[in-house]
Amino acid sequence: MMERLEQDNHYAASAPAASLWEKLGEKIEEAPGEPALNLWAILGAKVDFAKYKPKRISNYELTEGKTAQGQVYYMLKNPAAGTYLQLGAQELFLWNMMDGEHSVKDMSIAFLLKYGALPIDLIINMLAALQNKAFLERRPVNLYQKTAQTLARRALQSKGKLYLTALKVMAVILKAFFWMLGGNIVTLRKIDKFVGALYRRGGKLLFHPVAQVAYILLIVLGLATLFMPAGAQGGVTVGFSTIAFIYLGLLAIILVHEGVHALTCKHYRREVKEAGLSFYLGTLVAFVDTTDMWMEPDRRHRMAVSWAGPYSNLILGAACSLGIFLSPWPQVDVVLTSLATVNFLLVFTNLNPLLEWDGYYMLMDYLEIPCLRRRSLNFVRKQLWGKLKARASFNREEKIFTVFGLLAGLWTVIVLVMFALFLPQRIMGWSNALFGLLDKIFSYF
Amino acid sequence: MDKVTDILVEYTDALLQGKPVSKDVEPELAAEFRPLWETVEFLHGVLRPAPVPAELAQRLENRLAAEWRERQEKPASIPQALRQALEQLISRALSDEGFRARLIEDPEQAARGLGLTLTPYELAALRTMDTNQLASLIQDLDERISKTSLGPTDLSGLLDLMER
Repeated sequence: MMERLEQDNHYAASAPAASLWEKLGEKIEEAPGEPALNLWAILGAKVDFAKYKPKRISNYELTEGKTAQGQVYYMLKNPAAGTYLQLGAQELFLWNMMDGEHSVKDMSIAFLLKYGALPIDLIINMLAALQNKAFLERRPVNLYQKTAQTLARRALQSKGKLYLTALKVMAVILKAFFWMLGGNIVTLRKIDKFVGALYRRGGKLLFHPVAQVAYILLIVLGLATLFMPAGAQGGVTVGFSTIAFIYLGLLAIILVHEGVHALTCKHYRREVKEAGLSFYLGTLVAFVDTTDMWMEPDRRHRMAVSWAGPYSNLILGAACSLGIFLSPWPQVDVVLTSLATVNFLLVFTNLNPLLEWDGYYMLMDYLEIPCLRRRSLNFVRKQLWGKLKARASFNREEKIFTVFGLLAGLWTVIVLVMFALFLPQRIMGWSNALFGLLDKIFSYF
Repeated sequence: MDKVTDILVEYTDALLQGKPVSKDVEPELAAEFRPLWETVEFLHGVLRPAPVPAELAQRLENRLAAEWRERQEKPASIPQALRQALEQLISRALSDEGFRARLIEDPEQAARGLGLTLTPYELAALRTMDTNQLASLIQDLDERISKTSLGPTDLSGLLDLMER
């Protein structure tokens, strides 16, 4: 202790007459032509929303589109983050001013002069959307929210490790459940180059007018033979090789379905962001991400990408049906019958717009209402009953939201209930099937 | 004649540049928001009963027409005084939701609450604010994920077939 005091005295004795702070104060006072440092003014300016100067990212893509009603809109893409946003002409005016030089106040005044309206809510909502989608540089951090989250986490930790562990286990279970509803199992992120090469090396022939005519002929012939007796007659024994062919055929159907989505996307010169295996509402699915089609202004092209998958199933189903009619071999008929059934089922499954399958994207593009499902469900949940009680009139969008929201909500509940009810049975079925298949393979050899 | 010309030029400049002018004419500056013919009518009215030479009227009309066209084509500039008042109002409106509502409802009252006395010119500018016309088109977009269910490839179904 004495030693410490001596040390402090030593420092005190050797310290200069004026303290560091006093010297700094003098320096600030003496600074020629510089205004006195006003820390509070600087801090005030930093947190003043009116003085915030948003700066848009430098690397972005912008395309212009027009709805059927003639309304102009703009699609914005951040290629690095893979995010998209739709803007109107007024928002584009503000976006063009977000150069890091103009403050929110400057933008408000310029907007007022151009459009005769004060865009405060518009700017607030737009900045929030741009931040969420990573379209702004120097993204502001919500300090108060982050502090509140940290405090909440600390409060939780202080209640004891047991409580925390129980919560963590629950979080893991919930995470697994939600992953089963929509989590990715395998994701191929660099698929775009591969699909591009595939398109250039022959894939583009699928879009040739001659090929289009051939598809229609095949569909007509295939559907006509659907109701005719099969070419082969007599009984058949289903063996391992038949099952193997059916299984390979099913995998081929899936590859073709997803492959044509990707190739059609490339046909319109847009990027295939990723592909892989995923869960969707508890169902195992193969997927291709064609979100980049939003940058395509023509809605018919966007619809064509969605239509390509079920269309391929229709063609393949018709081809299988024609094969059954022509084939003289009963074993081949068994394989083709299974594949035709799956193809026609996939056509109907995918065209159902009530879940986010291909039919949904087609309907959304046709109606020109992005996020149709989310907005419809929100409308039904938050606004519909109020409007019905008040006997208020419904505009076009609200009518669509009501019909689609009610049907989609009902259908989703049915699917989720079925998923929850049959999940244990399904898991048992999968494990039994796996062991059964292994058994068959070993007995075959 | 020279005096008439001077008055006309002075008022026209004041009108076009938003410079302060004498009190009795100031309210009429709101006419800048009216179409051109109304502005010219106003000038004629100020100078009555002095006759306006046809040549001078024509020159003024041309000048105003050119100015009007320019303003229609590019965002208008606004006088410094109005800009300062607007800046104060907008700064407050950006940070205070309650004030924002009051400003839209009654700009004059809201401005007075801030200690600002707005000129008729400024009030006219604020009253032209039509908040209803701001139907936002900003829209989040769905991820477009094409999917094929692997349900049909359930091995259990295939094995059932094999058992038969």
